Amino acid sequence: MILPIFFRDSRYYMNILNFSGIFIILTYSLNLIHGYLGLISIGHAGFFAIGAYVTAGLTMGTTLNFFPSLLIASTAAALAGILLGFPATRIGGHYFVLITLAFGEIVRLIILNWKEVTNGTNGLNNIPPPSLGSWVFASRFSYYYLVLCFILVTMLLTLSLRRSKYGRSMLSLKTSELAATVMGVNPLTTKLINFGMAGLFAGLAGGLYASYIGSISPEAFSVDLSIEVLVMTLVGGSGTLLGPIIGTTFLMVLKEWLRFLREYYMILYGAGIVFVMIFMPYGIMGLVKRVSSQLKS
Amino acid sequence: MIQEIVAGFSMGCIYALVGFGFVLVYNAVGAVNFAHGELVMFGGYFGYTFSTHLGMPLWLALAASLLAMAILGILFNQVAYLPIRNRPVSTVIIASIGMSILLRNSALAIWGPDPLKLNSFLGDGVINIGGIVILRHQLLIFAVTAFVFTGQSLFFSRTAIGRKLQATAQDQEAAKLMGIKVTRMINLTFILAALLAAIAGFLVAPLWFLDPEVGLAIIVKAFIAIVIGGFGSVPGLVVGGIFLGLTEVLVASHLTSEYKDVISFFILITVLMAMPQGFFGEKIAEKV
Repeated sequence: MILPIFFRDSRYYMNILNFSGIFIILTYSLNLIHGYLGLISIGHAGFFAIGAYVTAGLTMGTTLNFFPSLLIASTAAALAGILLGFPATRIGGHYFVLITLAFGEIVRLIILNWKEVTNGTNGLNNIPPPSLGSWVFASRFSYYYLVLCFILVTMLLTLSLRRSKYGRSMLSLKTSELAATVMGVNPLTTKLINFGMAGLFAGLAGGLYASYIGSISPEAFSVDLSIEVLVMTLVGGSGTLLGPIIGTTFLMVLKEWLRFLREYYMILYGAGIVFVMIFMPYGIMGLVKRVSSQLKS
Repeated sequence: MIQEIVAGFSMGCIYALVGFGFVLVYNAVGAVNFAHGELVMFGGYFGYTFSTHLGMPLWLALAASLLAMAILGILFNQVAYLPIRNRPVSTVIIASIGMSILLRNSALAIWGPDPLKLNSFLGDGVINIGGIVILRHQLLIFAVTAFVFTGQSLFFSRTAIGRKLQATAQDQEAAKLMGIKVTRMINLTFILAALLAAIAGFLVAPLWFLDPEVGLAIIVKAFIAIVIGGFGSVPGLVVGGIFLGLTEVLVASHLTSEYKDVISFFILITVLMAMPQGFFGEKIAEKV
């Protein structure tokens, strides 16, 4: 990934790369829930926020360094994920969507109103960048490689999950929960593992986000963010290994490219979602697979 | 105290009215329409444009808005539902999310981000009954809610077209076999939902004012009302709406007004976990 060498001097492009990277990890999180379990979540901003605020709080308020803080933050988000996984076993489809919406909003509202801890709308500012010993990741350039490492870790974990028996269990649950359970898959455990991992990834992304951008406030963690992540997951191709990278990068670039359209961009965005659902519900990766299998035959 | 009950009651009626259009579509085609709140909002926005920009008297603005909304309902159906009606449920849900974004930002582009005011039919006045101050608009809300909900019960059970709609909702295949033109019924359902949204919009706008985010805010509340009452049940919807409205007001004034929405969400989650069918609705939790 030598891309950044070309853009090293441009803050603008480095920003796009780094934010894309962070969102890629967040998309891997939703990719897990939607792709492997078939559940829609529009509350992912909640996990993201937990990761961001816990990391920021720990690096600012305690003597803890970035990496241990990130670990704790990710664990917190993973726990939140597991918590969300419980209703998932009993409630399906559109009811579950509502629960995820409620979750995301509850997190945002608590952050907004718990001023003593989170400073409300003023947010947390001057979050220190990550450091490893004496090496500080202060430049956008170095941050890129940090994010890249975590993307690779996320990909590896996703891949190994896919190959493991848990991955197969999840996919079987997606196809038919009844049949899978009869075959011995434990829906509760499988779902909890999935949600826990998803929470972990999202929390990871959140911590990286907080330390990169330096200041966070509750407005960023809204339903709109959750929806954006959902769209990135779908456009790339839900449940695939490369989908999140493709979908996220495509949408981030598109957003910048069409920035001149301002509010009309969002109108196109909404129309685009409908378009994708009608014509390519399996995303770009789905399209690629279809085309390649047609070419083979 | 009574003051608060009146306020909560009227908000609850609005939630029920907003939810009704949504439930109509859901019952008929099983589709969750996330953009319904935006439809309500558009009803109000159309009313604003017709009455304030074009200077129409309010009742004419309502008629024009109903017409515009009916067209919007048809368009919505054609573009966002019919092409994907045979796909899995999640596809339809996500498409409706897309429509929600599209409509919300169209409103932003057309009317701008600042809140706009739509006047109430009965004006801004208040009346005083034994020390309790009631907005005239709130009386209008009660009246319309009562009218709509008793009307719909008669409509669906006594009229031929109402029964056809019911048949389509219960079993599309069987309805087709009985000679009912299902696609036309679905179109009609979307139109009805849009009309109801317009009416709800005219009732909400004077209270909450009109801005592009209103749609999302109100549909979320309507969802909670629907879940409390039971997905798919109309009497449940009214009960759920009023329950939510009252709870909100009482929580805000006696417990905490900042966390009021958090509590509403917690109610949603609790009901879904403990009593997923709500008070009146269908069973949805599956124990495998």
